[in-house]
Amino acid sequence: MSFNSLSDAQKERLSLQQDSIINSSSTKVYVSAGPGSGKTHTISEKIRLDIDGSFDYQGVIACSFTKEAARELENRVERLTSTKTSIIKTLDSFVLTEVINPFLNRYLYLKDEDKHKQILKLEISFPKGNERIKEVNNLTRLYDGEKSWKDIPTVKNYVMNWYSKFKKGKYEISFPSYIIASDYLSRLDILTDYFESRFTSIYIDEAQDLNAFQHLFLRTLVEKCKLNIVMIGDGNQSIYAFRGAKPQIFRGLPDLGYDVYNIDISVRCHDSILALAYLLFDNKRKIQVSENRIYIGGFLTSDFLRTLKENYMILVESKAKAKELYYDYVSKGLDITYSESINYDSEALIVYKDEYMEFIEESILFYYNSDNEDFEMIYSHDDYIDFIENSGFNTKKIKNSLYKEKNENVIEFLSRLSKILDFEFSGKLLEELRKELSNPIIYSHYYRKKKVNRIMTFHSSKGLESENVITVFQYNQYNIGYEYLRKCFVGFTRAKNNLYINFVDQAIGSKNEKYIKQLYQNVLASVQK
Amino acid sequence: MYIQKVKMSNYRGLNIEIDDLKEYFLIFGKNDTGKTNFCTGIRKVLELNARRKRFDEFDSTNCNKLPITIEIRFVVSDLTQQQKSNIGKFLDKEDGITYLDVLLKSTFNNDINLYEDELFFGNPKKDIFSQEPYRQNTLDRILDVIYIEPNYKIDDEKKQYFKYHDIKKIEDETDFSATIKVKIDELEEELEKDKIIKRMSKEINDFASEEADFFEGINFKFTPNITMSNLLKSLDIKPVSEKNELINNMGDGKTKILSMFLNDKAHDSEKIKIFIAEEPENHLYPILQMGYIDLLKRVGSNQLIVTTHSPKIINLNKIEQLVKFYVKSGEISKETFAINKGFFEEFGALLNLEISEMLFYDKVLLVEGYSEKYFYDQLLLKDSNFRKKIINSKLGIFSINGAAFGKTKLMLESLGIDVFIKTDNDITKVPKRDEKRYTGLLRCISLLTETQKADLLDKTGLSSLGKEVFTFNSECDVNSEIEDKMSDICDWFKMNHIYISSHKTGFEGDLASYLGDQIEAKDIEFLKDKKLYNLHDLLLGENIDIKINDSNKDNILVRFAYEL
Repeated sequence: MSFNSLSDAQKERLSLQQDSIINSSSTKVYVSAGPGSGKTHTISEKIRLDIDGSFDYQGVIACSFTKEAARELENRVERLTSTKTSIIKTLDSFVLTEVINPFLNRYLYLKDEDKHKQILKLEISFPKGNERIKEVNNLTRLYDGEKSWKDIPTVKNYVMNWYSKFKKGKYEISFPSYIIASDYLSRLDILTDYFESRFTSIYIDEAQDLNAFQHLFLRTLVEKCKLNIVMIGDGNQSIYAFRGAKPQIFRGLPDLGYDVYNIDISVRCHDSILALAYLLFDNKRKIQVSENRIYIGGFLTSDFLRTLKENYMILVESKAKAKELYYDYVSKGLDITYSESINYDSEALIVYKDEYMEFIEESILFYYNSDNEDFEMIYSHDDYIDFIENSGFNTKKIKNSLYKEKNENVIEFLSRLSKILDFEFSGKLLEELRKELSNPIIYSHYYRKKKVNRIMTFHSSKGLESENVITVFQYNQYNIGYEYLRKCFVGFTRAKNNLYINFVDQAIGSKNEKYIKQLYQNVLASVQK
Repeated sequence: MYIQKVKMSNYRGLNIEIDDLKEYFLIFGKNDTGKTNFCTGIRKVLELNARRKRFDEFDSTNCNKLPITIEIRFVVSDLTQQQKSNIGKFLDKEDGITYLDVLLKSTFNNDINLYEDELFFGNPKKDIFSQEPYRQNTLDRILDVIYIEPNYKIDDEKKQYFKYHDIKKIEDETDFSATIKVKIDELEEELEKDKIIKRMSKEINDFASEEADFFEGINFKFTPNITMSNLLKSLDIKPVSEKNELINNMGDGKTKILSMFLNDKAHDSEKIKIFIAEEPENHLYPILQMGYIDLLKRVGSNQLIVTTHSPKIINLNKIEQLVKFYVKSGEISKETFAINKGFFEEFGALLNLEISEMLFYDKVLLVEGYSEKYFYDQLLLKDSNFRKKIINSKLGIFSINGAAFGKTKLMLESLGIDVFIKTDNDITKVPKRDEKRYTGLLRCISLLTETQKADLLDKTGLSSLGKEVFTFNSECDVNSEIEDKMSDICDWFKMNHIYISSHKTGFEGDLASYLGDQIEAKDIEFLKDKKLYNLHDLLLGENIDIKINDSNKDNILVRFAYEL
């Protein structure tokens, strides 16, 4: 489906909904925007109005969930107005580069005058290894924004530990960052004065995935720096509860003084698909669809897939299943892609994760996409320079070397660049990367292609879309919880024209199979009417 | 926002730190004590054009090529929102005061024989932010240094002024009136019709036609160089009289003031302005000098830094601080003195003038009256040895109201100037009471530090230095207890550079004992009668020799000369 397939009434309704958000002068805006509702367009236009209506030394803060999304938003806004004075990044990145790092010593000195020794550079690290990552996720989940995080002993302990390392210049990117950043705002009026004069508003995309610590930080930021705030999200698409996401806080914002706006038109999904998706949460909902584009059962054969005229996306519940199907299809000659990023938590690479992960990721992306045939997928040289500069390097003398040279393969590129930037990669690391990138599954993660058939997990599909979507349910959900329903919602609403639903393995005969099939019947019934 | 602290290392002989600067301060000091270099150093950090001229070896002390650093700390307050958005990231707060630190660090590069600069914002002990030294930075955008040089360059200032308005009119999207364009076009038309121009045009175009091989059909026309886009460059500012007649030459003084004004107006009025005026006395008549700082204050700035060699420039009511630069053991050093509001207000403008002059001496003798001053003037005239001694020690002799002794002494000594005081041991009646008081002694005691007071008590055995000790019943002439100790007291004061006689006959008595046999008791009466008038007669009239000799060299009047 596309904008043109909407009825006139729907087009008008969509425009009205978008415009009322764009032109709203509320200081606290809550937007519930469903899938395919033109969110990026709406945010970009609102930001444009904001920037054009404020002094030229002022700008906005806009945070997206991933680096990709932030880059895309920045590119969109740049086409409309100047982003020179604005900050468009992920929330993690914003907190680190605009709050924690620049005011580091002034903050620590204020807290600990006599003992503080100047820290010239923070050592950035990530939680490493599956155990640790799980631990951090668990702790992030424990705090739901109700009482104080200090009342949760394990959380408090972790934060104390985190802080004692922070005082010595070691910064781990995890939830305590937001607690400290809030404390910065409470103690440093030079910081809040600065933000107040510099920024007019903050925009948060995918706000349903914010955890309670992030909400705390944003509340403090808005209050202390007198910023307007726009929170955009879709409560139905919150699938990161395991990482601590608290969609209930997002949904509770209207009670905290936010003005409410909705976009309920989907430009993307055919109305039968959208109807099914909303039925997941309210199976008594009244629906009316023109025709049915949902099909149940038996669409996983390579023969069937070959019949599909337009691109398709296969969504599965586990990586293992994805790989299983992928290898099967490839052996049968299907043109299909499955990709995984380099695993930095592997034994060989974990020791390099903190220092080099970001650099390697961005550089490989740049290498493969600096001259991408699809002009929308290009990773420009300017963007790469920006990344290198934001990592703290002075690029004045080396700008011209930051291109890939003729006949230079990706490993040679990484090696040469690492030398120029003075942290020469070891032969061991380069060899490890070479092994990884020689795997087509990994290689295809970095070489961006739009019009391609993909197989991926439900979680990886967030933000993407395809003409045909084939969902594959593997498991028996003994209890059909909201997280599961939201996962289904995300999966279903990736589809533009046709949705195929399959139940395999343990899902056959399961409660969830019955439930979804029942909803499907409801859709069918509404067509006959 | 203003500069509170400047620290320079290895810059043209300056290794200096001044951390208590005020918004309006004045720098004075002998030649070659680094005043100009101090100003140049500040400009180097804060002016983009100055930063772009790299230091060379001659900028380092004794060409040592060692690192040069210049640190400046601003006190920041009342910033506009725009200014905050520019520099807010770099500010620090200590004890409730907000600061901005700027550091320039230059290291000599032997390969290019020049210094390479690094510029940083932020407290060097906390968060520092590297800046590109040769590009405009956020501080440049909100702050201008307006430098007024000792010898005005009116043509440069005019150019800068016009250039500024040229850019501004483009930014403001305005332009000159349409009539002007019409007139300029008309000028071009008229030129074409003019006989002389036609003749010249023919001459050239005939040649061009004859040499068609070379010119290939090109012809020439005469056009004025004045166009809408360079109109401002073609203008001049000329002085006219009240009758609107052009004046040939306005004179240095007025030109200098105009030059200063144009300089100021060639900068955005919203920006923070730091005025640096070097030796503004040049080209200005003394009376105008006296009003110059007032004028600068009216023009308006966030900070005023003035260097001067002229006492007339120094207006103690309008500036908040004096900074003296001097050389000691080969090193340049400084003293500062903060002038609190009202410090000299009570004494009036004339006193300010006298005191301003004192600043330019190494030592100062303060006396109370014009009689004393007249005496010393005569002594300087008549006694060449005395004169040589006074000149060599760079001592100035000044007469000021005795009540001003204390404040003046405090100020001068804070600025490293030795102070000698000559005063009378007068006894006065306390009004409305039956009491008399040793006013002279009390005056001297008020000039002492706590340490000195303690020492005085110790050496003379006085019970205390309070007023009550020196007050007595008016029926008596003197207080015998005090008189018993008088000689010790006066000796102690002599040791501390305060010269007070034990007798109560004032200057006349001092002079009488100084002149010895040359004068009789009745002459003292005569002197007392009409003070200076009689003194003049006395010293010039009869053949009085007032030179210092063996019998009078210990007299209280010239005792101070021993210390020189």
